[in-house]
Amino acid sequence: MTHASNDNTTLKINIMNDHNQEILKIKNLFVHYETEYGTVEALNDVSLSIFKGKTLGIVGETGAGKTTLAKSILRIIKSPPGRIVSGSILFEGTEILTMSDKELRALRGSQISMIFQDPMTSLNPVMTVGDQIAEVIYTHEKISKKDAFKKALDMLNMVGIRPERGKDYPHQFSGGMKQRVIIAIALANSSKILIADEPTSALDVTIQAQVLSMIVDLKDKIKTSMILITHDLGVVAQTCDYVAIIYAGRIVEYGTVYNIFKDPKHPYTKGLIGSIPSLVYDVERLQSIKGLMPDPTKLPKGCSFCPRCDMAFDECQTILPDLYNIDDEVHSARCLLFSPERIENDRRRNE
Amino acid sequence: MKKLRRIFSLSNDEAKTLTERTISQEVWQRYKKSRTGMVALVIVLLLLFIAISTYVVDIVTNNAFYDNNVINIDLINKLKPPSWQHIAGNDEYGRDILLRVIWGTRLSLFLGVLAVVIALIIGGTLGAISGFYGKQVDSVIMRLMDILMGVPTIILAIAIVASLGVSIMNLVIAVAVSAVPGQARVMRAAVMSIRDKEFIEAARASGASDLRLIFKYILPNCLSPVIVNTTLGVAASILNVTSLSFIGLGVQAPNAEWGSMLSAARSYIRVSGHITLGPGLAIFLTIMSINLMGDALRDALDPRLKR
Repeated sequence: MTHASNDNTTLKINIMNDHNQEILKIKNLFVHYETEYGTVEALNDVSLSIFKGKTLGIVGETGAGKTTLAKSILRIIKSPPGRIVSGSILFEGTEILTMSDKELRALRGSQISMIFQDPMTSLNPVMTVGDQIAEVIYTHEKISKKDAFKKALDMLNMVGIRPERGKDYPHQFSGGMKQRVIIAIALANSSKILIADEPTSALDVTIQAQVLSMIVDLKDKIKTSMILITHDLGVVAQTCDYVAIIYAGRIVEYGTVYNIFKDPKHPYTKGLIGSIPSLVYDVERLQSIKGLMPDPTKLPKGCSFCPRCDMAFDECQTILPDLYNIDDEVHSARCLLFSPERIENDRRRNE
Repeated sequence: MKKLRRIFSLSNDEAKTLTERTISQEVWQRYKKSRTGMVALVIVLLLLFIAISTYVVDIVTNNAFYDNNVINIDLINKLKPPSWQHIAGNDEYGRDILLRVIWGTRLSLFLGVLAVVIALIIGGTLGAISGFYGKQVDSVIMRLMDILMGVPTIILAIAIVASLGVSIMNLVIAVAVSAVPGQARVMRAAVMSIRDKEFIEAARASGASDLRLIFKYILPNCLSPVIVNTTLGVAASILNVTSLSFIGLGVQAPNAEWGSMLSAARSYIRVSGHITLGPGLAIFLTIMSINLMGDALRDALDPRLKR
């Protein structure tokens, strides 16, 4: 993992290497849900890149738009009410948003696959798990049904389930095992990108780590890139190379894992990191971020975090901040504190 | 099972335990626990057996038995009460009622089943399309179904037979058409409840096409309400077939059919009531056992009762 290295130059070189191997590029993506109560601005101006073999963590609280982002990439947002308003998603240079249904089907499950949040409901209850894995292989490869089934049993073996259980139905498996089956389905075609939407939140704490480390191992083995959606910062620190913090449908901070944990800039990120219990210090009460996320149908005019922000000033309420670069590398934050004008002003005041 | 053993190189017993755990077997295990359900099942199987064996008898005797005993006229025995020779007595033309009831089974049963199967194919397809695609497609199809449903079943059937002419095929068509909206509604509701499940989304995310989604993911999951509705639908259709025959729009005499037998018998109900008994009891027993079977099946298929 790149973040393990504290050496700044290696880090820079790594980042440069990564940027040469961009596999998915999301640019200025806007996604809205049109409901009876108004338009929910689920994603606003989201731009992200996923690099070959790297893991991008997407962190945010419930309703921040994480799952919407994942579903937009595969274009499985239910429409209506969902609508991808504008933007572009390029997969190896091809635009996903203008693909035909046929092209999309060829992409889903073979180039980009997804692990869903709840293993209990993500498997077809009336099909054996072996058949369900074989199904994805059969859909995308020119292969006989028998060979697909054999390959499916190999996949089961790979995720640590005895192949003879391929003839069993999902209800005969435990939650953790079901999630393994889902992972086997997602990896059956050695996809180039794996989207894991909170893969461990529905699992028992004791098997969360087990499942997660299995995902990471297999991901390295197949050399796929991963988008890991979670609200568990510990998981992010353990597995990700890059992190995007998302708040009310906007990316508020982006950087390497090292940037985010060592040097969080945005007040929201600071709040998140502050809410993790520390092993080193004794604290009476964990810090929390006061207030709630704004109503996504009426986002504030300025910075969407400003009502909850301790460091807000007048301009925050009227000016929507850009993602400002913090340093020469990838680290950037959407906060007026880091706007070039303000930094300039600060510098002058100090002189 | 042989295939299983070959693929996994399992022992006989292991392969058996693996195959024994299929869903249909689990349902059967639960169905067996209902006593009324089992009695009803036995009666229904018996009726089926009777219906099929009448065909066998007809083929073997080249219709001679049918001609001589079921539709012959024997005025000497006219309206004779039950005796050892004719257990259910004789009807207004001296025909043996028991034999006529037995020969009537196949018409009532098979016409009812045929009508429901036709209704299931048409209504099920419409309902599935309606439930899966939703929006305008759904509105158009369901409003059409509402129109059909707005007319009472039996009156709709009468209207259809009256306009198409009296024949057995038209009788089936009439009963089937009047059963279509019910089937469509049940199928639509089942599809809609499955359509938004996460595993459908997951299948879509792994590249499944609409057709594959419908046939491999949605329909198999809709089976239980549809099976129950179809079973209960058979009972209702048999009743409709006999009702139409009763008012003279279905099977015509001298063909043995419960409805038309009952209709002919009703004029003699004061003089010799026994002749209504045979067909009446047959209808009662059939409808009740199919309904009880449907109820037991619903209990067996309902996962909430799973133990």
